[in-house]
Amino acid sequence: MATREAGKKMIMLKSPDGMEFEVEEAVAMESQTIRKMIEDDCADTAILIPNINSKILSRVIEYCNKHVPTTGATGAAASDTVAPAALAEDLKIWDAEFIKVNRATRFDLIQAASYLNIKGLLDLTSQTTIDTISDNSLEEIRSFLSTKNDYLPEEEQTIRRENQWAFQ
Amino acid sequence: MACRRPTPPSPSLAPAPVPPLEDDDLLEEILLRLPPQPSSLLRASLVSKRWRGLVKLRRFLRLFRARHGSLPLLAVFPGEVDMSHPFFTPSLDPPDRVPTARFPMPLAPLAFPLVLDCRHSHALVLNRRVSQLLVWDPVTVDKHPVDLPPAFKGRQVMLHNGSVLCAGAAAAEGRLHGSCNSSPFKVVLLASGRTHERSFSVCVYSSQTGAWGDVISAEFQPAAMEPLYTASELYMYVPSTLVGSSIYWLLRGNGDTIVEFDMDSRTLAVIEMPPDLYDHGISSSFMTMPAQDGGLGLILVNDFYAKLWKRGADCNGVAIWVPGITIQLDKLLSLNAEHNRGLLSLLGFAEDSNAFVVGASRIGIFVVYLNPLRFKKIYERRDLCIFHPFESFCVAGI
Repeated sequence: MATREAGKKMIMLKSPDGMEFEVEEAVAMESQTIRKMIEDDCADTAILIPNINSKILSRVIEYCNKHVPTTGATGAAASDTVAPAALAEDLKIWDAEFIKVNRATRFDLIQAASYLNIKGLLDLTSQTTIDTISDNSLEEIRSFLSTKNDYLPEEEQTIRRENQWAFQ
Repeated sequence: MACRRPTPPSPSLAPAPVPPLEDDDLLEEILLRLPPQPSSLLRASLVSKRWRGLVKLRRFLRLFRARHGSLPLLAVFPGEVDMSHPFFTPSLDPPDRVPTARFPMPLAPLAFPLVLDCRHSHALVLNRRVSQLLVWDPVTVDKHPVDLPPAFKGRQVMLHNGSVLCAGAAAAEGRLHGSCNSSPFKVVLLASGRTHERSFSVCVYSSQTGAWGDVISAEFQPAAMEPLYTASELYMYVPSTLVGSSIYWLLRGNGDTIVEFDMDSRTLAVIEMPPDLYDHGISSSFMTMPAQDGGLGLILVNDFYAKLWKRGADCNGVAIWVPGITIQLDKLLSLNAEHNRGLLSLLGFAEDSNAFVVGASRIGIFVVYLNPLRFKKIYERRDLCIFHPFESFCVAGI
């Protein structure tokens, strides 16, 4: 239910497992999907976020709280009191800690960021995935991402042989 | 107003122990963040056939190009074939160092090939033996012979230069080109009459129609351009520059001139050289280039320094050349007094990487990147000639 608290407009987000999260509208609007719903005047009741469980949704809200441009619910300093470069550095450090999660959680966060259209979170989660795999062997990448190798052994060998330079 | 709830996500978003990223859109989001180096997409394409199918899509390559901004400078091709050196000279370190054998010369030496231009994954090669053009895609190895336009054949027509570009490059898509293997291309030729050298003519070939368009001509009064050559004789040229929808050719001779052809308005114009250009001595070499923040630029190399200019406007809106930075190449390349007999020459410019090729036969050949300023030595010793940059993400038949 949209309410007002300390002059700030609040929005209720509901996860499919029945949890409710009351967040500032500005925080919720970090999600372009939710922003669109609010702007279309569709958000006068609690918004059900399908397929994002309460554990992931709470992490997403935590991210949005930190990244909302003005003072967030976490008490982050307002940008007019801290130099932009210091603020950016602070966010970078915070992001690095935030993304220290297991693989399944990170994939859930990627899916949530994509569905809720939160560009910063999608960048963070996707880039972290690429950084994790970029130095690994193909076998490790397949194993890490649970991706099935559907090349026949001879097909893979042919491509490797023709492009040896890339696998040095 | 009807409320539209978000569309339920794809089935892969349903709870699963370890989601295997089977949603193509999400996989694309992740793979777009792969580094731009040439080994990167190739390695990804070997993870699975599904990954390979995704990264070879033109849509993916366009987005990859947009995300990374510029293409890696994979290698350089010499304008003139020198049988004592490989045709293709890689300019990256392993594992992105593509072997020279990957891109053999597209024409036999007996064809007296001259590489006129290389842009958007295509190279334009002139077969001087039969006066025929060849558009070559080094990645797909496609060769597309193109006869000279009828009006540009014969000894009465002097061929000055030629350019190749992706067919959509002059359209709204702007600079998002270069990953467009097998995509349609255009060839643009500049010529003038032997007995009527003030008249410039341009003709545009489209691979989509397989034909040359109308000849577009204009008369100017530039200083005499010498020497002039027919297609079979052509050897002296400076590679062209593409900025927006305009191609710029620098014509060297007794009087230097820049000829501009706007592909949208199909108009020809000439641009004078910076008045202070010749203060730098007669041994200087210069080329047009895209200015870093858009528009036309010019780069000069003399002795041990490089100097830039940018086409701008004065307070009355009149187009002028605005001097830019000077780069001390002796300091950058750690050259010392022993090298002072080998004056540096400007040999090429990579539009996408914002880098120039510079060298002296006794010192070697270098690629110097302007932003950030750094260099890479690609030859210890070699005779000087024009070098064309090959800039691409893709180097293999993935």
